Amino acid sequence: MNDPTSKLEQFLKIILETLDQTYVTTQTTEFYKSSILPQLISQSRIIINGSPFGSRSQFQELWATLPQTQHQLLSFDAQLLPIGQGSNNQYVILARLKVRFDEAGKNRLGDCADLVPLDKVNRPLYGPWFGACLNLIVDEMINNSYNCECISSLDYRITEKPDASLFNI
Amino acid sequence: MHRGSSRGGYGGGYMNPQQSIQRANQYQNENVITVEIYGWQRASQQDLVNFISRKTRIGLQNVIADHNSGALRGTVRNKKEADDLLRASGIQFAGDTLRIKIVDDTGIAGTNTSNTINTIEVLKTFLRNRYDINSKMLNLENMSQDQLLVSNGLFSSSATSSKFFPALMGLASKEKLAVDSVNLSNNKLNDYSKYLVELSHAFPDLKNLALANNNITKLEFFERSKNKFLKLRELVLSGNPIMNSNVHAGIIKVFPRLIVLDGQIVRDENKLNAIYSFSFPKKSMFFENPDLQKASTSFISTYLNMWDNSRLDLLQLYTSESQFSYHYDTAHIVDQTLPTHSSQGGYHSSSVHSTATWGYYMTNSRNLSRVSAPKQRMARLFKGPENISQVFRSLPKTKHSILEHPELYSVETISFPSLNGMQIVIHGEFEEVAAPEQPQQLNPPPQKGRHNRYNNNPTQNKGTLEKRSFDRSFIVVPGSNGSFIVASDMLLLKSYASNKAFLEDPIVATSTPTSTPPPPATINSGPLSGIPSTTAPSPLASVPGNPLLGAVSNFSTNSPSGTISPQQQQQQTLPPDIASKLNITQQQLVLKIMSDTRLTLEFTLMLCEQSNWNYELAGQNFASSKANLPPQAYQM
Repeated sequence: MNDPTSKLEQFLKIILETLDQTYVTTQTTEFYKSSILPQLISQSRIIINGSPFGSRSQFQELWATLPQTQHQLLSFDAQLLPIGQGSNNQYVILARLKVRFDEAGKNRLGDCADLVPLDKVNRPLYGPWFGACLNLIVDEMINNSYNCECISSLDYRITEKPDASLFNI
Repeated sequence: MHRGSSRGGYGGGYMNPQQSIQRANQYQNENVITVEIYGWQRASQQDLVNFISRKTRIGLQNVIADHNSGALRGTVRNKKEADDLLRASGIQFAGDTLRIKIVDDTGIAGTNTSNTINTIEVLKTFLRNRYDINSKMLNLENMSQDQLLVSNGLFSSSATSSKFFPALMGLASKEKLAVDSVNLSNNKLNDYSKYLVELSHAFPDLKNLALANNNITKLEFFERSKNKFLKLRELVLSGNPIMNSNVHAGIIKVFPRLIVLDGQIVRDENKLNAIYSFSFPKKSMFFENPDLQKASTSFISTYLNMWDNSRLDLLQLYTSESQFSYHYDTAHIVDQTLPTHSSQGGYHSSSVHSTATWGYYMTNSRNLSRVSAPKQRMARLFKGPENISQVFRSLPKTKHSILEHPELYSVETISFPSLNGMQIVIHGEFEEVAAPEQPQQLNPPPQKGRHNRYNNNPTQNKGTLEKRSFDRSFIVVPGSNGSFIVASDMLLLKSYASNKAFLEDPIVATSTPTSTPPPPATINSGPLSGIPSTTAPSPLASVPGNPLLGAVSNFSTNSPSGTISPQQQQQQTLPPDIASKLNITQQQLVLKIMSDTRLTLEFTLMLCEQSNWNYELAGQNFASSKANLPPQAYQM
């Protein structure tokens, strides 16, 4: 039986990896930013915690200011919507994630707020997990390649918040 | 760097064995709790102590029997042991039922119960005297010289002195004092004092702390409180020997949000706030434009009302192409304990860690990260009203409270141009109020294999009724007669978590990051102001005055003005014989092109067919041929 959803789990894991990738000092910040969710269409509908973003680059710009993140895909479901002749069909994906943030006091580009030198470890010190809901509209072209501009809508909402976290949402 | 220095400092601080034993005894005495046990007198005192030890692994100390009251009074080492012991209350012993109670849960009165109430009152009075509600400041400076405490003997012995501060903090917690600042200066605190740990239990959100003029010499004093004071902003340590050492960096590291240490700014506060904040402003509601706000709020309120009260009436929103699926995820990210209602009746306390509570959902849950077989995946995707009605019946009856408590919900609505529709994503909670109308196994039994025994488990379809959280996604398109059609419906069920994550902060942030981009469309956030106050559970498509019908008249994401004229509204219905030959997408395309071009239905159908039902191509073909079209090609 042909399963139209067979490649979605791998796709989701790949796009979450782009949200979590670490910045390497040998690369330019512009290159790093452009590698965050490159699967977004440049004028995608992007809603993060209820706030809209006009374009992929604006979203990437802001995501790069976050501390290092770590996402895990917990569960997901998807449906393939027939769009009509002449257009690719589209997946609607509803996924549950958990995410945690580096609480070592620096963002992913290495900026920190310390005015006195502190002996800090380089590895992230992750705080407690948050829960998140990810909703995507994705073109079925992902069955040919995961690295194409295929996400026309991304809605990311943090739905569960731990009490003992340094990190505010 | 500080590690070396702290090891050096630590080397001079070892205690001799006698001191260690004294410290251990002192620590033990600090936390002793008195308990009383009744219903034991058919056996000896020693038998009872042995029995308690066997059953609970708790050793009763300082045991004294009071034969007049029938109580056996003793002490346990700490509050945890006391709580554990309390759970054994009701156990049978020597033909009788043991009743256990905690006499002194602060530990301050030791074994002298008669003083307990008086001592607690003294502590309450002291707290009141030292608390300033306006500045949210608790001034605990120089407590050993406080007349009230001294005159009541709270520092008369080392035993009462050591119990005093934990008891005070326990009371402060119970009193739920709003405290931002605490002054613990001049209290002869040394490196072994546990005041900071006790303080962190009572006031974990403390912002300012003064520890001036004590005898703190080592970093370990603070390191015991690592990860405790996550909001501490200012710390005063002047007058402590530690300020003469070079461990300032170590102190700053213990308190990740510390900005000021002894008057010196040690971190850039704005930068720190930015680093520890999700850079994306939080809004509980997002609607791409006012039309979508109106349409989606009407849809959600009416849909959820009918989902709760007349679920099967919703089926008219689902066509043969409509899809529905659900899945649940048992992962617990934030712990909650809730009262649950068993299907047999009666409430009981339940930890959300139970996985047996998902029984009603197990059969058809379509978690694609778990269900990998293509056949199973497809079997759990329900298409068309008939199949969807079966799965609707198999889900518990529910109660959403979006009308009464919109703050418990969060909604994002965006346009879905491919189908000229909208996507609504809603997050929130509901109560399960009754078992499913028709719990059933819709899928054929799985093939025989090692998992088969689980699938044959008769308990699989039983579940408990609980409060749950959910996320749900709808793709909604306008129907041919002015109603809505649900093209896609996906439901994700989760253990209950509160609305803390998406509830907007009451205080608006003072600054927005300069890099925050402008919104691409009108933002309408805030409470669901568009939700009608009453929504009758009536069929959506046929009742005049239904809020959804009003909403659909504005539901055209590509309409320049956002509204459709009455004439256009009238034209939004295709004759049944035409509609029956077209799928939903084609119907929408015909209506859209009729609206855009003002062509008649006949010419619109021709244009659509010649353009392979492609909207953009139809537009190009229309533009290139409109000069040659006869007048009768257009609507009158």
